[in-house]
Amino acid sequence: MDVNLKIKFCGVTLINPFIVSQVPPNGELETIKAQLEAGWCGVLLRTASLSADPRKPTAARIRQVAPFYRGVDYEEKRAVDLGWIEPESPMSVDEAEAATASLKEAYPDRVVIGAMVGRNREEWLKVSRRLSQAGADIIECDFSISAAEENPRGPRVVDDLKLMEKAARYVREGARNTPIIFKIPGMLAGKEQVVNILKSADAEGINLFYEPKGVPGINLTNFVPFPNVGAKSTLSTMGGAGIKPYTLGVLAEWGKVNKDLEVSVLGGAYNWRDCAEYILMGAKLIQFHGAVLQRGVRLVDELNSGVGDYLNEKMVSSLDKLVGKSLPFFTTPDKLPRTGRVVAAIDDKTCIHCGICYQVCEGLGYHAINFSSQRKPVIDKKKCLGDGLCVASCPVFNCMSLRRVSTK
Amino acid sequence: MGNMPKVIKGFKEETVTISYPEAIDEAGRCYLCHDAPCSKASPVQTDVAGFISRMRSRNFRGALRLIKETNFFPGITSRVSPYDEQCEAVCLHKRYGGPIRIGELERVLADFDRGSRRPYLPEIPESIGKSVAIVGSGPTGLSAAVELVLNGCKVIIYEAARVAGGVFTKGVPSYLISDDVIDHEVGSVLSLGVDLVTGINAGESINLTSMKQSFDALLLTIGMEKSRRLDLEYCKKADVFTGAEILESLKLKAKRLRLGEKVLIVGGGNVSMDAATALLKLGVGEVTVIYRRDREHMPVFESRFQMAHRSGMKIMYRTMLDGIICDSQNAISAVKLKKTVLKETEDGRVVAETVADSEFTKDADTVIYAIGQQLDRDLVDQFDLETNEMGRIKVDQATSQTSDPFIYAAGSCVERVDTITTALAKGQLVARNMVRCMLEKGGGR
Repeated sequence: MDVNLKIKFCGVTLINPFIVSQVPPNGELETIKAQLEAGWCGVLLRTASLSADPRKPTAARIRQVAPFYRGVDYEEKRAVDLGWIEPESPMSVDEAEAATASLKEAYPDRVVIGAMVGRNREEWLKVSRRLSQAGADIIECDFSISAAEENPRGPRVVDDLKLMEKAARYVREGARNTPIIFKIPGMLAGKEQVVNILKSADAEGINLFYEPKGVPGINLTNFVPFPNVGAKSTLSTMGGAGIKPYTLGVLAEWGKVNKDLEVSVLGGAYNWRDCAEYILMGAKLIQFHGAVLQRGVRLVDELNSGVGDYLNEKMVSSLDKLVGKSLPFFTTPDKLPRTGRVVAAIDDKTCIHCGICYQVCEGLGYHAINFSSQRKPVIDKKKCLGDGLCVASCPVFNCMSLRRVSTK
Repeated sequence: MGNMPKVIKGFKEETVTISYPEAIDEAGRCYLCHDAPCSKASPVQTDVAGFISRMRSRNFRGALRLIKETNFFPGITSRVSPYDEQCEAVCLHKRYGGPIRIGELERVLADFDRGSRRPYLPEIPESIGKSVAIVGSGPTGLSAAVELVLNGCKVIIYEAARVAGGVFTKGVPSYLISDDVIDHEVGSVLSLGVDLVTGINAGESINLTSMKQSFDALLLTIGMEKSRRLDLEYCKKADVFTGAEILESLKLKAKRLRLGEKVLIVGGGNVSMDAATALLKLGVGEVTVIYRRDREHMPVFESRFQMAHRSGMKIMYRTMLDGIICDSQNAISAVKLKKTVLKETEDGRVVAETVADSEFTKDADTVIYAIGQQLDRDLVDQFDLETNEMGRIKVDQATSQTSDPFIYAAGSCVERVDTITTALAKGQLVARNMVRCMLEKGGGR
């Protein structure tokens, strides 16, 4: 079957739904070109701001600390999550304009998303106008930042719905016909109002991001939390593979209230399975950050191949048909069916007789697995409640499963 | 040509273990099975899943402590005992990617402990007012000493050799294990407060009557000190050694051996293979091992056989030594060999019988017997102890007491002990039996 991964996002056709989000020190033009050469559908530029002094080169504006990345290890597995101290380094609008123009010229089939922030009417209007004139395919305006000039850690734009409504209209006005999306923190209350406001401002989409703040760990020898920056530390942005389930939850929650805005997502995508899941949960554009830092730009080959083969396997001709396919299955706990019975099953051919299923079931107190002296676990179908802990704990792939049984 | 004295130098430890990153990966691979079979297959019942689980969270100290609860000599056993035939053989990971390399993990922990600033030493409990003398400081004796001390006994060990350790110090070639490891682990027994007297020939110096006055019990862990020899006619000056002699002289560097260039070793056990490996490493031109049965009947550990095999050992199965031919200078010039045929006895054992008229000769200038050890009867006769039909000291299975209830015995002087880990287990068992019996007898001295 002839499949391609083309997808339309906010009226713009993408060669695939995988894009790299630039966060310093990433985002230099040469790096972006290497990413586009590798096959990513486009680039989301570093955030442009009028407050960034165009006379100073970006490198001089980056007030970076060292080290600023820190992996989170679990037992033998390295970097199951990744944290970094968020750099403060907006791009000047001049730089964003230049980068957009040069990239659009060199890679006309790729998309350039101009990212921006603003704090007042003038900034929202001007920056969006300039990015749109420079040829950006889409403009992304970050509403997760503070709007108070004097207080950069103060209330965010999204926290003041009236301000957000105004801001959205200014960006719409400035961007003219260029599609606009708004960057919204995924863990936000009042999702429905946010969707309605953005819809009424004629926004095309939202970029839901879930990169929570955290502390990757503590050095138990000297008590300094990670990353250790000259014996001090601070909150890190957590954006490694470990946050995927949370991002998926964010998509599910927004999917319930959002029917019209197209969805881009940022956070925790590391392989094609994550992508397929995000798409099934309603996303059309998947932004990559941590994974590209750790795995390199060639990761896109694996994504293309993985999602492509998945489409083939499912006999689906285009990605569009999968967007949001999982949302109808998602509901609230009170609506979950309470009838029917599920029991665990063990594939005897695969089982290695480790006894872990028995151990966890005993621990729960269900005593639904018998473990003979020959070390053969046997499910007691009368006692098994089908909770699934044994399936989750079994160390062997494809050994245990859950089966629905008729209740007659 | 033959009979050039070889200068015996120590070997450097050659076996290498896995690196720290590999050990972390390997520990992570473990399933941490419920009621883990590896622990049961370990002769000393080490909580393998328990220590691996601690290792996974980088609690190396806790992991080592857990091992030391059941095995005080992990650095030695992990290098010498055939873990691949014990705990690793039953590892359930066997099916998917091979068994967890438990021995290597244990060795990494032991080396970590040895290199640390404060190597682990358990706390000594309050005294129970019992005092025990142990004769023999091999694995069984040392292990019993540890167990006795940790049960509140006072222990003194008498050792005939210059140094403590028995087979550790005399019988395990240095390319398998460095002296540092042995010194550290044997030394840690002494750090527990065990007294050691070396160079004491118990048979001559120990008086049983005075012993009974000074101690609550006497434990014999005297091993099998005498090497068996074949009863063959040959000139007495010829170069006929025992495997144990070879290994001991390599290890203690005490003797200069006059070894030839064409060495014949008789026997199929670890001593035979270790001697072959060691001699080949020393540059002996040709080492041929003869064994009267087949490979599968050889008691040698697979890893040690492979080591000898890789060193270039030649081996002749179903072959027996029938005679030694000496030249006019009383030097060995050749050996007479006979082929054998294997027959199964009624009780299922396979025995070798010589084939008539199968005699042939083979050039050789040195012969080494490695056909097993036997009990040195001096002490046994002096203490008037009963022995069993196997020629070993007879003990009560439940109490480990010999025919004299004051005297206990354990280890290879009592029964067949195949591995060092098994010897350690025997030491622990006899110690527990002794504590129980001494307490049952009541009161302090």
